[in-house]
Amino acid sequence: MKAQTPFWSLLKNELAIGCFGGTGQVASVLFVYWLCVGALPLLVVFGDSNSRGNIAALFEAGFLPIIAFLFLSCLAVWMAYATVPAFCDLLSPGGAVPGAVQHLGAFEFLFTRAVDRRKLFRARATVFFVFTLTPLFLNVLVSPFAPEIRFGPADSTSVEAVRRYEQYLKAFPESHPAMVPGQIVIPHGAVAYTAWLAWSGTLAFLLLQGYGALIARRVKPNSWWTAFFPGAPILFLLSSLILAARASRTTHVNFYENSFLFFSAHPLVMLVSLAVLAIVIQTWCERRFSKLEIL
Amino acid sequence: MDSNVIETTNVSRSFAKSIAVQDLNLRVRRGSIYGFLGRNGAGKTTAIKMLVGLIWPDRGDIKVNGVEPARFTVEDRWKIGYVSEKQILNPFMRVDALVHFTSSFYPNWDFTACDRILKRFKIDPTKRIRALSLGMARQVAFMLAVAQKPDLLILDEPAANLDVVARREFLDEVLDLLREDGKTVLLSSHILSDVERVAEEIGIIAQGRLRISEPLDRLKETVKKVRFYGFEKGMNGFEISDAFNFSRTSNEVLATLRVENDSQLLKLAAKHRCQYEVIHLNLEDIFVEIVREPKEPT
Amino acid sequence: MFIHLNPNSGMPIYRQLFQQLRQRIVSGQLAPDEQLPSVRDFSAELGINLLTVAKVYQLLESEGLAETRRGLGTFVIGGHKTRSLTEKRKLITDAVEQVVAEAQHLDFEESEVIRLIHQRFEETKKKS
Repeated sequence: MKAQTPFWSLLKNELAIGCFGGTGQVASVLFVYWLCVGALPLLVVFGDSNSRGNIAALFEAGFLPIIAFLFLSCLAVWMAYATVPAFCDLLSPGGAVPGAVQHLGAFEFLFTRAVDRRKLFRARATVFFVFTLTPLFLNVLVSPFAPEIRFGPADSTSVEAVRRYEQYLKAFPESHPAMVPGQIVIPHGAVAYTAWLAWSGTLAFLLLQGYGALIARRVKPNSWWTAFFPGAPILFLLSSLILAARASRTTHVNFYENSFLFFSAHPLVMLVSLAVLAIVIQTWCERRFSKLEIL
Repeated sequence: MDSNVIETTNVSRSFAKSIAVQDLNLRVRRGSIYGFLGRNGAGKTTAIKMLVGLIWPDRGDIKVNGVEPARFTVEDRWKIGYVSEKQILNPFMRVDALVHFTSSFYPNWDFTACDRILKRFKIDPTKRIRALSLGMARQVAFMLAVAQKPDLLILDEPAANLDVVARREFLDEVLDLLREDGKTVLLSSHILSDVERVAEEIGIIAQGRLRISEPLDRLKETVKKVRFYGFEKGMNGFEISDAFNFSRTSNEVLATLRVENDSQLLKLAAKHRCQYEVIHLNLEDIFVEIVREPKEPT
Repeated sequence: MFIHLNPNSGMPIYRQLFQQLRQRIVSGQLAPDEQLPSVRDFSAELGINLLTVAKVYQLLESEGLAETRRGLGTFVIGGHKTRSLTEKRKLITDAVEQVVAEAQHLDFEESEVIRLIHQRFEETKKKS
């Protein structure tokens, strides 16, 4: 038998390659999943007949259109479910799902083998990351070839609109007027948009991972705990998404749009700080995972 | 090398309100088979989980192969094989895939031992774990621990779902393992007759404390049930201070105690003017006498 | 050699094995200079712990019933007429103890017991 490194072995195990056929089969399933889910962010901008590449309309819709909302919710659910390793089992007792979401008892097996727990955690985190965020990153890859994104607020002469124009110009200094009056073309707009989504998704992923590691030690086999605490981040995420949308209507401060603009204005800083955060959280999670007790 | 593979010093661990293990001082000599016995809930599984680094002690030190379980490196774990009580293996994995997966973590994996054990217990390697009976799954787990070529094998209820013949086969495997020098086995089982066959030393844990830790032969030779009868002058004041169990009727006393030598009983009988009959106990009898809550004196 | 061991009896396994081997050596079933199986093989055959067999061999050696020759194995020691006398005496003493204990238990007089023994000897003499 060909020798394989422990990390690769763990990775393959997490993907359940051993259980359901070879690498090729798993890869094709993954690919189909990504195709279905991955098209959404760009579709949202260009597919919706109302916006037609007009990013202003997207943000003005009050909250992101239903499709995007659904996508983000699914993402949130999947991430919460999948990035809380020690008690995924408690959400689906009986553990009939192989691979990524494993029975708690499986940890007992792996923890008592000569497995470096940090590597194990890294393998799991890699799988979850790849599963959940690859669609977003695929979007980023495709975005340079997407049509132009423009900014054209509904009422282009209001005070509100003027303020927003200024914000956009600050964030995208190279934007120029479009063919349609009242709109400006944002160069690399699609890239910025998809990058922002990918960035936010990664941030959410990291925070959920950190949350999972934080509470993993304290989860008791008690129904209130198992029902509430793993689910807390989902609820938090969804409610904050909704609240942010509501608040933007009342306060006329569009959180989504502002975050997009802030990101676009300081791309390098945002990317570097995310990388730093990723390292910090990953290291911390690995450490806590190593100290996990299997009762 | 240490003479003790496992050494715990005043180890304690509690969960919420209950104390699982208290002041545990376990010593397991290298190259021996140690039978670790206890009722359900006595602290046995907690103690074992602390030895393999699944749980950390609240207090005290544990050294397995000279290393604290909390600090086990991958290399330390090469030397320790563990079969857990519940034995949860990935149900969707095939046996051969599981072997392939597990072997990737160990440098000296013994593939011939895998084949031998699978054949011996008639397990089809192409089957998925969930298609195996409980007993067979347990044997797969045992095989995975043995093929590692560990110095220390910790078995927690390894033969629970096996039929009688399979249990004998299993014990033979354990004994075979021990014929290689320096290997140690910690065996915890409710099937005391099995433990009696192979163990050299016995540890009995009750209510979180280690009550007994000594060679099996000595235990069987010294712990006896003695029936005292024919009291010429009545039974008043007849007491044995450190008996494991003590009960009396109107004219008889039945006590389980340690009999170091014959004269001990003769003196006692002479002092109280009675006769006695010694009843020999096997391991199961001794175990029950030691861990059962003492009956109220009538 | 067929040995029967009962690990679940009140008597430790080593003692059972020791008694059976001793009995065979004393009665001549195992001839002088006959080689006993190696510790490994014997323990595998009997399905018991290696150290138990080793302990028994050591005991046999200390009682002068067997000896270990380096590199060759363990061999029965023959020609122990005097030794076997000690063994036999021990066996008789055990039996006597039992009879006396039983007699006391049943409240028999010493003279009565001696009479019964004498009677039995007479009966067997008549038969042979």
